[in-house]
Amino acid sequence: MELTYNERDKVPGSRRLASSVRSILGRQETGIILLCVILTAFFYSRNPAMLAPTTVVSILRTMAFPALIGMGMVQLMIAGEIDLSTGAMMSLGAVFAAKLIRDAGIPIPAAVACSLGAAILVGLTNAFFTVKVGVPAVITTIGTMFIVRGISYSFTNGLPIYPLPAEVGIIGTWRPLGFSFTFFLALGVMIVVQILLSWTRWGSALFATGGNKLAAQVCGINTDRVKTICFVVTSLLAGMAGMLTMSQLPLTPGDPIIGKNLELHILVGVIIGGVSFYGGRGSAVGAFVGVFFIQLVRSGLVIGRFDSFLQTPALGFLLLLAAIFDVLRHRRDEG
Amino acid sequence: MTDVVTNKRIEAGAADRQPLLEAKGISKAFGHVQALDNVDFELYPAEVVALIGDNGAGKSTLVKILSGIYRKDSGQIYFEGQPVELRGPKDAERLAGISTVYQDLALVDVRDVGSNIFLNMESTRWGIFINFRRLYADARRVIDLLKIDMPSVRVNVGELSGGQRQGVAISRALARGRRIFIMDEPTAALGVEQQHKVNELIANLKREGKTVLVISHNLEHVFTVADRLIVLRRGKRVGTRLKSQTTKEEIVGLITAAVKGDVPD
Repeated sequence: MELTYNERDKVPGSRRLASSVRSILGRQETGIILLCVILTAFFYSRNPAMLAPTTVVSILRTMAFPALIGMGMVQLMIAGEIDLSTGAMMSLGAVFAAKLIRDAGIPIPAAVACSLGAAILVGLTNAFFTVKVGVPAVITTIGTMFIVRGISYSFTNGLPIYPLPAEVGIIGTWRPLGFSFTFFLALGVMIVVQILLSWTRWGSALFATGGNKLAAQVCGINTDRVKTICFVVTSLLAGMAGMLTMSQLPLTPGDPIIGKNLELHILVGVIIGGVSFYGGRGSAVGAFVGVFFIQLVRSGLVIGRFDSFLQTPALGFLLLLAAIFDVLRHRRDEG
Repeated sequence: MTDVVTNKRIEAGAADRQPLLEAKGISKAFGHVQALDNVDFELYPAEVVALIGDNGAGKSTLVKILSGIYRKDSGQIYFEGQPVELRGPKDAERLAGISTVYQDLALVDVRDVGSNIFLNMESTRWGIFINFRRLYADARRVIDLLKIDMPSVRVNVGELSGGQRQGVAISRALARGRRIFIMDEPTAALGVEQQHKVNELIANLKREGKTVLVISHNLEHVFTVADRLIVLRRGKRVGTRLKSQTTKEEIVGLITAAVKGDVPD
């Protein structure tokens, strides 16, 4: 069988470069990168420390945690669902492992495994109420957010769990090339997820599930299973990010405050990165850049000597801005 | 009555061929409403059949039973002479090769034509990566087979016209080896030119040896595309006519009961 493109389906050679340049320029990812450059310049003008190597490295280290979770969130949102319990899951992931290590004397790898098991359970709970019962994901995951965070606090009486064995900090203090392990992990996961989205049947099933559920089902895709996997992966990455945060903190405490407000950071970042609230649209690279953008704003406000209370409203403002953009784009596509 | 004679002639002509799909004595009630009352139904290979009747005549109930959405109360469905039990749309697709082209077409607007046609059946390299070169080549082959006017199979479905979208939905079913295509009001909400495209599409499907069942209110359209017309009235099959042996007046009469049906009301 001949496997060549029909002439009409080929992008003509002379126009190929021009069209790829145009498609790169037309992407939301490109716009966000440009915005990042402009913002960096602005913060730099307020305080030259913005571009100091330590600042840059610190921003990349901090954004690694939400970026890692964002790689689950981007798949979940493409499939048309959402998870607001990720920050709480980070907390539980860390606290649960810490508790097992300190009070039950369980070896670290086993404690990590138990903690990831708890994350799978939370992911399955989210999937059950959303997919099987039919509660909107926003409601389900706000519910589990409170429940999970509550469990985390009652586990610890609201106090950090420490001291933990020094080995807990091994990964967190590892600084390959001056960056952090989590940063490279997030980068690696981003590449894997982008490949999954662009070139595999899993990606194709995700876009179909979020793009038109009926179409996906007509073609024999089990959309419930697709969504369940996404919920579990997102929870797993959140639990992992929680433990990695603990590992990076001084004295490596299992602190229940870990991951506070991070679910919003992830959500806003991912939407700013071009992932649609309506499902069926988005990229791993975009989500990664979007989460980086949010970190840039948060850190830049501090470094640029703005009132530190501005961080939270800035996040809210950006969420609304990104959502408006998303709604307009959706309306244009529907129209 | 001539009606009866005509009907006999159809049956005589059909006797030498085995129906691809046959339904016998299909009944379905919703509460006190008898939506279908002991209806027989048959589709032969490579023919275009129009199912017509007024609102509430039982057209969509019959179609939904054939596509596995409703369960019949009684009766039996045969595919190539073998009894089949259609418990859901999946059964209809796999056991009886019936594909329903939904009115909203169920396409993924944010994906391109090729990806829609081969959704969930993409061939891969090393079992992991979708073989896009092959996917687009195969998509082009299916599109050309049905002579669908498609500038490129790499354009997003959301950017296509109504007729082209219908073409993609049909191509998707064809690529899955379906043999019976149920089209519910295929020309509704389409302009004249797009309607013409759909007619060509139906003709090309027939030329490929496929069977098409069209449900339509539009008699003009029905008389253009169909070989055989089956009229339902109040849950009963009141008439079957070859297009070549009937007139619009007679069909309208059958629909409205102005002409006496082949079975008692």
